[in-house]
Amino acid sequence: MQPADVEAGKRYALKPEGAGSGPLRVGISGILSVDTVKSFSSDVDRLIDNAPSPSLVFDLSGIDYLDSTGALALVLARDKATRRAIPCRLTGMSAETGRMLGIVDRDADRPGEPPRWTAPGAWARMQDAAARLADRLDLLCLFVGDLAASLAASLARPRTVRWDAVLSTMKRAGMEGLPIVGLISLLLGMIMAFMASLQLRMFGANLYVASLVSISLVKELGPIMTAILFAGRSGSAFSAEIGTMLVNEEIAALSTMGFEPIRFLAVPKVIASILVVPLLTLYADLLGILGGLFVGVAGMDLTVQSYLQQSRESLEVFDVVTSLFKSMCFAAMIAGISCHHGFQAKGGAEAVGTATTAAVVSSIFLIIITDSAFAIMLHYIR
Amino acid sequence: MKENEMSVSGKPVIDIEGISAYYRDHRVLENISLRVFQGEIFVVVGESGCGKSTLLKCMTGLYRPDRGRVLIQDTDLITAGEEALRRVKRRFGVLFQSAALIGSMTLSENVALPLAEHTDLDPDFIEEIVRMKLRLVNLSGYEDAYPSELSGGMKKRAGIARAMALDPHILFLDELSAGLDPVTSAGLDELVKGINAGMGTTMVIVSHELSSIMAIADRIIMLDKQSRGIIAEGDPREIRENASDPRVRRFFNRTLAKGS
Repeated sequence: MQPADVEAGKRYALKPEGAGSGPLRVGISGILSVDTVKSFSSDVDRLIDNAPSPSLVFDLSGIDYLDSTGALALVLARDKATRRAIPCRLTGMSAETGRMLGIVDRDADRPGEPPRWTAPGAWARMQDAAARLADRLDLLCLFVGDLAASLAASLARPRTVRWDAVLSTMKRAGMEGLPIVGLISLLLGMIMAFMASLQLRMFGANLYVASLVSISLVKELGPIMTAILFAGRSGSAFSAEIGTMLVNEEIAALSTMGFEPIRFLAVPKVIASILVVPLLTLYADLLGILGGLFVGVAGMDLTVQSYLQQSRESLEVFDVVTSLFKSMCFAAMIAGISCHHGFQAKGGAEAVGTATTAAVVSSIFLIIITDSAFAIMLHYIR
Repeated sequence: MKENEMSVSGKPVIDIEGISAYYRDHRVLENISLRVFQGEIFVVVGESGCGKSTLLKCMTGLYRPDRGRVLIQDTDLITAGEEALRRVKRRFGVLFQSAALIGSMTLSENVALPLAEHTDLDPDFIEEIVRMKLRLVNLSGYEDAYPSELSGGMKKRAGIARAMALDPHILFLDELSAGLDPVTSAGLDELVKGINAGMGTTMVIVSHELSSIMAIADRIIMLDKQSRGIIAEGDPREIRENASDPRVRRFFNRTLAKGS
């Protein structure tokens, strides 16, 4: 039969004959394919459920076209009847129909079937998860060690560093990040100044809005906001880039060519991040103070000079230096952890996505933890 | 008489007339005409870059040739409306070179995807179909496995199961044996022959593996990079014995020498 006939909309027909003590003979004709099988299955199910006879015979001699889905429906119907203790036979098969049924109906007789893959149970999954966590920590320690050694070696011999890659990363992660970092910092400064003014105005302490904004931004919010934005923008990009290279076997190719992947890919990114994030933080601090200045001058009758004077008096060099040092630590962590997750991507496109998400989440988590540690340490140092 | 020799005289299921195709500014196919008949295994061969995959894309509607006609069971892919195109696409399945399984889905979910999209069958019945299709390609027991857990040959088998999900009349296979070892490749050839013989599915295969071509092809066409056209057409065994064109002879001899 030509496939075009199958498309012409011809359907199947069921003709039950005979009953009582003899077998119920059901003549099946027409087309039994993926398009007609749904209604065929319900018709046959109904027939089996209400079968008046002790046995059933499906006569297939009238079938014009049978595909594998149609054949499966016949086999399932026969199995269902057998489960209901109704003996069932398929008869009148043409060579084509028999061949198709033969393909579908061979549950147990296939020699050399591959070993069955079974989903692991809950206990096995827990053991697996614990082993994976231990592996991950092990790999993280190894990566940190490798990265530290590669960084030390690179700094000992600066000419071996791929400075073109460092500059290109600085441009992408730093310069191209200026608009979003600037906008968010400006708005953050404005919001803080506005909220602080609502309270301080009641005590006639408008001028202290400048102190609040500048201290909060320089000591905490500037470095943290910049680091979080950097993790979202650039950390994810580092992870995706390395993950994609790994999946495409580019990293394997680099290794076979004698390159050390961490030194070749991760070191330039870490160096670029350490250089560029403090600059971004400084820029974020300035834009935040500028945002506070707008609100102070426009909404609280402060002069530009008095606002800036107050800001300057509130801050010490120590605050700015520690803020920049903190940013450098955040930068090294974000770049390192993002590259690490990129190197762990295994599989296909999904693995790259998972690595990217893990990189951003881990970076933000580490930023908060490290910032808490810095807050306690700096308190005692002062 | 071989089955395909009988069917060659019948009505073609694929009828391509005078198509030309460009890749960027470079012309890769020029005035190509061919016919594929019901139930045959038709293989497109030729060296890398000769336009084999582009021709396959033209046949599957992924690439629109600049001129000519591509008739699949009397529907012209170039002029057909959206509904006609959707209907004709249901009649064929495609196995891509990399198998193109969706990595975030298990094998069952991959195979069930076209069934869930194009039919209103019950989930239980779809599950039965999926099990049957995976059994058909010797992947019973791997229903819950993810593509990343499979070898290259198993991925291809799973790709065939997905392409066969809707019982297509035509199966397009791009570089069936690419990147596989000879044993796995021979296993896939057997599988393709089995599906063709058992289900009567017309196969259009792009390949440059001579052992595979000789094992499965009923008919081949050979494309040439320079002339951008067909330089040989017919039974591969006859072509190998009687070819007078030096390009055809070189293809068969070089590949044979490599394989021997």
